[in-house]
Amino acid sequence: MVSVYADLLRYRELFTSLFHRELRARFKGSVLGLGWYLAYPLVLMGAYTLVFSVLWVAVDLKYYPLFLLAGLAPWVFFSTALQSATRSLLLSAPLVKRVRFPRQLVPLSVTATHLVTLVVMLAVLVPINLVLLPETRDTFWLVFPLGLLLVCLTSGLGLIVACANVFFRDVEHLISALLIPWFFLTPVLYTFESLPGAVQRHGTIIDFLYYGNFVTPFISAIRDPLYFGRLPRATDVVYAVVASVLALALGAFVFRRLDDHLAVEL
Amino acid sequence: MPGLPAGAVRVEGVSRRFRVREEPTLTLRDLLVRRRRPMHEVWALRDVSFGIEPGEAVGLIGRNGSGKTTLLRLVAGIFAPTSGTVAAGGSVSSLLELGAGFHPDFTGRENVYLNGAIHGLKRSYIRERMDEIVGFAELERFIDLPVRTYSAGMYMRLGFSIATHLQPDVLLLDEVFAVGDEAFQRKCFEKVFEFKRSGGTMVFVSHDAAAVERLCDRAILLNEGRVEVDGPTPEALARYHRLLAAEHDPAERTAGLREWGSGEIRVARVTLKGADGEERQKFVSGEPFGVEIVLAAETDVPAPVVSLELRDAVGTLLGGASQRVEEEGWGSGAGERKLLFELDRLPLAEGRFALGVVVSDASGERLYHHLDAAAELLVRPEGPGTRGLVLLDGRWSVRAPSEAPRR
Repeated sequence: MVSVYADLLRYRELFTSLFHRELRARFKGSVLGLGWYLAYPLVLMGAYTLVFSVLWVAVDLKYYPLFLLAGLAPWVFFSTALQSATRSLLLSAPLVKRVRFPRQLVPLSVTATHLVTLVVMLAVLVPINLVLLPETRDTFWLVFPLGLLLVCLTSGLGLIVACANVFFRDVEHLISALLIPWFFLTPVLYTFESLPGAVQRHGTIIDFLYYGNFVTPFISAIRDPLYFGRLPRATDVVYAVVASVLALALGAFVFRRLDDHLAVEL
Repeated sequence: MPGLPAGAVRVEGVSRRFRVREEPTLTLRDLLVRRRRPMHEVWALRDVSFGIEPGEAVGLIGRNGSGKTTLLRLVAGIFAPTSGTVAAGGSVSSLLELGAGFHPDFTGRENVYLNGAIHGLKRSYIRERMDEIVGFAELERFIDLPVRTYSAGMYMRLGFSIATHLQPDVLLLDEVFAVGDEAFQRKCFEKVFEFKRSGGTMVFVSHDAAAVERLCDRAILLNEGRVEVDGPTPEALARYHRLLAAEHDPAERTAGLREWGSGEIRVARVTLKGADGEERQKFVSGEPFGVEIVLAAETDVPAPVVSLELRDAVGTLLGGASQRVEEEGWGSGAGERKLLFELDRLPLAEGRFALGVVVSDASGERLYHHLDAAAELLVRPEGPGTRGLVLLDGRWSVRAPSEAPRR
């Protein structure tokens, strides 16, 4: 398992080249460039704020847009990275078929380019929170180690879906279709506690939604220090650590099993 | 593999099976419904064994689908054999497809770095060789433009240039001499020779028998996934020719052999004739020239199309002429027919030339006989001012300055 990721270091020149390729490819010919990374979550934030906080006061939290962004930043990273990673190996088919190189670098570099989104979003969000939400000043730094766990989770999963998509082209459609309900079931727009009476009446469903959806503990754990200014719950952190290690291990396992067949299937 | 010296290649008992599905991609539904899709197994290689010593140049020849490319990919490590072992000592660079992995929106220069990184080279190493790579590809003026603006030839030239500047221990080449114009092909050839001279190991897959003959001392002939011949190039090529004689696939026309075709009609004799109709091989530029072709029909076939191909000593096509033989003149039944092609003035200046004859059916789909260099001719210039390949058959005149066209 280690060697699948250790190649990141051994082939760091290639990794950086692929990373640049992805990044530049996305910005070539676009006027807004890096700004697009910010535009997408900001547009989402604007729309959700209008619907859930102005027109229909579903959740009553102060600075609701900041609450939204604290959840949207990790979610947007996770979902867009997963989607791009799914297609990455297929898009690099000519390369995979003709040249011997550590192919796991392809989905991993794609995930890395989305990390740029996350970093840019946090670079904007953290200072605003520090000013408007003084209680986050002691805890905000926790976002970085927790974000790293999310990156591990996404990298591992990205590797799995990228390989799977080579064999079953349905995977990319499945992922796109899943991400929409997945988003609403993940407490990004709300917290389970903020839903009136939900915890009392539907405790089991909520527990299931909370722990059955492995993204939820990550979102909660990141939002606690970033927005609420409190330490993340220990269970969330333990869950996140275990989930990211598992994702990495499973990603390496799947990749190892399928690596040899990739060039044949493409 | 430890213990294998740099540049050595060891292939032992290698077989490779491919499972081919009738529909190319598996969908999740197939998995869920557990429907067994019809699959057939194809053995691309069966029990192939050979060794290559450092510095050897080995040609891989065989018909389409004989397993050449699969074998090359196994040596490159792109996938693993189903059984057996493949090992190569030192660094292996494969030129399986020129320009694989170029990003269309990137400039040539950016793609050189990217391609180098894919082959495991350091940026600093590539930076040092950038001028050389660009110079070789003859792309100085275009290197900072996106490669999507490149012509196919430019694209290929850059790909070839990168690959040959990687300086691997083992270089794998798959049909790479289809690059660019003839001048660039010659350059590629020189580059590959240089690699060979510097002691690099080379495995070379080609349809072009002449190229294999020039580059490789040893050749391996694959037939239906098995090694048919592994020995000196001429021996392997001779066997390859015999295999091809039974070949009707037009795709094999590119085989680069001197002669191939299905054989219903054969070119029996080609003779060159001078002004007075006598047979000869030496001509003076500009004199009358005739070609007499005797075709032998094995069976009753309709009138064919006959083409002449005039090439220079290096094989550049200088000119061609095609003619559908008239039905009346052709008649019916087996037997010999004589065709005559005449030129009032031979438009060649100086040198050695070869004339090839191609006989096919009227649609051009079925190739009866292709004979390269069916006849050779030696042309000597008519006067001291005639040089080069082509006779510039013009008139000189001198005009007074007043008659010069106004600017």
